[in-house]
Amino acid sequence: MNQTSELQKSAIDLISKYFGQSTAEVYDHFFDGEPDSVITTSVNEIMVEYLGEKKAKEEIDKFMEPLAI
Amino acid sequence: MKIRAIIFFTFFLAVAAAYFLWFTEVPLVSDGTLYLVAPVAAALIALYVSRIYRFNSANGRAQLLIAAGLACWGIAEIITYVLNNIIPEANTFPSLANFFLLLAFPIFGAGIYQGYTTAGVKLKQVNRSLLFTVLSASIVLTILVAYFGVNLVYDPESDLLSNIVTVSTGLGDLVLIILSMLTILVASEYKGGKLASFWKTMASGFFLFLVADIMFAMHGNEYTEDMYEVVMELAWIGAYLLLAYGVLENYIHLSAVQKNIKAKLTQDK
Repeated sequence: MNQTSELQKSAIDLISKYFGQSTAEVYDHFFDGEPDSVITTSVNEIMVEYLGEKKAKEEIDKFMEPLAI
Repeated sequence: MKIRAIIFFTFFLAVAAAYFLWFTEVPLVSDGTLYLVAPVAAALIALYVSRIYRFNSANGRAQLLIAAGLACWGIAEIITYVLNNIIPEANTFPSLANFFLLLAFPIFGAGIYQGYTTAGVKLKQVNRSLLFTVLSASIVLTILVAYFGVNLVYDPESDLLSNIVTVSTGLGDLVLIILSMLTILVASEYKGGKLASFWKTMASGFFLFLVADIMFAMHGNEYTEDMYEVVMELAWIGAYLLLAYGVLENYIHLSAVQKNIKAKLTQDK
């Protein structure tokens, strides 16, 4: 598994946690073949709006930061 | 202000006006038909929105359980209405309505606890003044509920089952106090986010419900059809509307996120 798909998997896990499996599946399709920057920007956008800046950063750090380039 | 918030608020004002003007005079108000609109709407909204949530999502699990608890309260109100107005001969205490009313407490408890663990609330990091306010409010409400809702409702002359149900309802309110306070702490974790609005609306709804329950416990079971009862019933109606509004708004946000990404997917791929 390459770095991008690891990041994608973590992003999908985080989206699933808050937005449910069905939304996460749509995001999974959308992220296919997209660069890391698109994945991190998209996740950051929806998480900040839903969780607020502080919590979104905390969750993104926990789920995705170790994999982000 | 959002159009949906205006609709909910306008509906509440219209119901309040009807209550103040015709509480004992117009059958639709005095027999509880108008009162029933709010819990039925809450139950229907709760059942409708549950289709978007799944148990395998932490946040979805919390939302689903809260929606289920709200549906239980709505069902309890419908049964109460039917027993009061349609089949009064079957109106015994305790009834099936009491069962649904009590069933909601553990379901809400599981949902809010799930929300609390998902938020990962760290008590040491919670704002001190918020924590102090939450604790003070919990203590005052606990004393009121423990005295009026648990201690005073026990009737040694009633049968065991009736006492278990009445005391359990009071104990349920005690649980609701803890749950309401947890929702405030959860909301503080999501400061600035849409999810904070959801939890704040839940906290307000549960708090209003508690106010009405405490008023009911202080008042006793004898309805006097006065201003006290008007305020008490409006507090319950307000609570149902707030809870329904919170659940609906959260659902609409999640649906919009899903719709947006589907549109992007269709556009890009």
